[in-house]
Amino acid sequence: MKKLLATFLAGALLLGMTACGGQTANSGGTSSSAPVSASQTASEPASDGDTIKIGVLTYMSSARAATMAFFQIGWEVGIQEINEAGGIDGKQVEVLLYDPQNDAAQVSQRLTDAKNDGCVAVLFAVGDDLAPTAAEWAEENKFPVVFQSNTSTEMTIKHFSKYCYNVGPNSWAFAKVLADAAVGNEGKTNFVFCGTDGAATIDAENLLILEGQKINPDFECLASYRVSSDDSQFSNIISTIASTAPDMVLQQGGGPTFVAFAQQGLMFGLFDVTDVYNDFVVDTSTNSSLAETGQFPYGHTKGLFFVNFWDESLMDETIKYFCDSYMANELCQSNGYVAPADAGLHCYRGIKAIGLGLQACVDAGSDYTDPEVLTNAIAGISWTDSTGEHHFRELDNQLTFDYYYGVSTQEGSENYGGSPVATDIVTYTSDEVLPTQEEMEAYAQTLGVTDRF
Amino acid sequence: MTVSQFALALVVGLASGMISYLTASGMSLIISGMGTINFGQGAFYIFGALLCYYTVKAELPFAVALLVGFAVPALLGIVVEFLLRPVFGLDMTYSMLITMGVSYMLCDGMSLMWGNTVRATPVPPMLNGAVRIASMNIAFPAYYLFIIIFSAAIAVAFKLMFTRTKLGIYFRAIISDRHMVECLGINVQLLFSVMFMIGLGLGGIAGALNAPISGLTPQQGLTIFNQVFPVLLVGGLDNMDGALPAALVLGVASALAAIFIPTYYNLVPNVVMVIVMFFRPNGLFSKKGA
Repeated sequence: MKKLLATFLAGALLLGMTACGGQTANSGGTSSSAPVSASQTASEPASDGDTIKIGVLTYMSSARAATMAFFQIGWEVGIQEINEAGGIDGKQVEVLLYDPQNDAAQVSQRLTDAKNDGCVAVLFAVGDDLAPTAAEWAEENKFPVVFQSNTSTEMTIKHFSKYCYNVGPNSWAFAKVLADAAVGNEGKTNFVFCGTDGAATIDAENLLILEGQKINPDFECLASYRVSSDDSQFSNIISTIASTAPDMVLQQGGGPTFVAFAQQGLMFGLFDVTDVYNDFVVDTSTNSSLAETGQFPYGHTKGLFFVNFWDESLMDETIKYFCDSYMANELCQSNGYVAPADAGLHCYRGIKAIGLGLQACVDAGSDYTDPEVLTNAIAGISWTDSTGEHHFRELDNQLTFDYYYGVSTQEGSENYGGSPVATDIVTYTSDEVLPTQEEMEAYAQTLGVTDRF
Repeated sequence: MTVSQFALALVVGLASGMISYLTASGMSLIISGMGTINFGQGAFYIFGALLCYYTVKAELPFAVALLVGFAVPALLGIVVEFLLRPVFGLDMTYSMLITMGVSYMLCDGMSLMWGNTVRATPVPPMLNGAVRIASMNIAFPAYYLFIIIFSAAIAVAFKLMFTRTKLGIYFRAIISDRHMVECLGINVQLLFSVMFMIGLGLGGIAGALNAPISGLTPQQGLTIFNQVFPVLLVGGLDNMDGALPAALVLGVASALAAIFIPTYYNLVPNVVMVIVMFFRPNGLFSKKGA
């Protein structure tokens, strides 16, 4: 019995340790619907000196690979745009992929691999829970890393680095938008948090309390439920939330986590007693599978989104190019995706920012293979399109863009396989919702950080 | 906590516990009979769930989906048992590595075949409602009641098979004294194959039952094991009778914890497991005691 138990425990430990990653480092987690070409994997040597290489850290294995293709199309559109315009310095740009296997311990090694393979910069298309590790690596190695994950105070306060640039949604801005819309305009007085335990999701909860209480001092969090990103069965908390009937639920965690949340929520009548707020109201990477089976709770999910893919009248040439190229992408078509996803837009912006930084180096006659030079160049880039004015704030290296608040609706979704679009849209500019230095300084003190500013 | 909250938590806990029981009992059968631990059970659970999704998508009845979710993993059980034959009787590390390898192969195979996209299985229309008790102002989701009743029926059938059929007698004999059964001229190898079929089939049908209430991706097959882990250890690794009470106790405890300690509710099964391991390493429901 002891031997059986010992083997069981050893096996469970091994499975537990490897389950998050699921596959060997460079195996690619290939699938017919999300192909990762062998020539793109990190195991291959850098191809030749006639291309400029950008590393991408992304999930190719583990349950979190489920939404990877939505990200991949975004960076492929970014690369396509650069190369169609003639490349940079007469060279085409290519991407090398690296899989940290959803494991913080592997993040540094994969980033080092990218650097050693000759990549000029890295796009970090991995969750915010792994971002602080990458930020520490970037600071130590003085190498530019552009993050598409949600930006937490872990990145802007605790692990701030001049080498890290954030193109994903800022969790503080998310909280400010929700506070204004839900607490200010809709009069919500309490909420329940239900989400995964990434740094940005924890921020979302804490900062919503902070910002909500600025509007209504009585605004409170009734309960906080943290679910594992691997967990698909949390009916117990859904049923508890439904019986509590809070004014609102702050839900964090997309992909299979939200799908399970919505399915179980429908069964327990959660959407009959409250509304759910998140940051992927119209995001197809999360919502499509629910819409396909008629299980999407239209009208009861509210919150942030970043691309009005259903309304061409709101698009300029840049965003129209992104949307059209996204839908024409081979991977998008083979997977049958119905609309561009927010995560894809963030990846596109990340590649665009690196590309503009490289071009700035070329224009200035400086050496873009020097990480310090490219880092400084990325700091100075800017562009404007129909989703706002974009530049990196000196305060926290956060990319500026517009934040859209809306309510999910079925009306108009028929062209997108039922995947929801948004109505009652309110646009917030970055100036309105990103935190000020004073706010960040005050919050840093509550975190015990004294040397950030 | 109100009576209706408690009643709802009880139903949720029982439903969740029954799904864990089906998954764990399949593993427990193989452990008891062959002394081998099937670390690939999670992959067969997701395989069953995805088979259920595609069967429903093909507009076949949900009952057929459940059947497919059981039968196809069960058939694969023959292959897995065949792969384990060369290492049978050797150090258990070999069978551990083989079943883990099968798990990875199956999960990657599903990714190759179906992609990694998240899938949502619709609830069968006749179960897509609630059973209301007006006097208590409470509504139980019909599908959760179905999970409890259906799983309980399987548990009863499983128990009857074990105690009332010739196959069950053989199984019990193998568990008690495998060599004696071999000496009697009974084809033990065939019985091992049947054990694996039932074990993996139970994992598959657990996944199929859970499919309409969870988002599915192939790579989840590598993490499901973590959820069954406490049930197996609290029930007793080689104690088949312990899996059911352990699954129900942990399911209900977890559901009640969601009400009383929401932030830490998901620690409860593991905390219970550690306490049980400390005082009764053979499991809470094992007659062997400490």
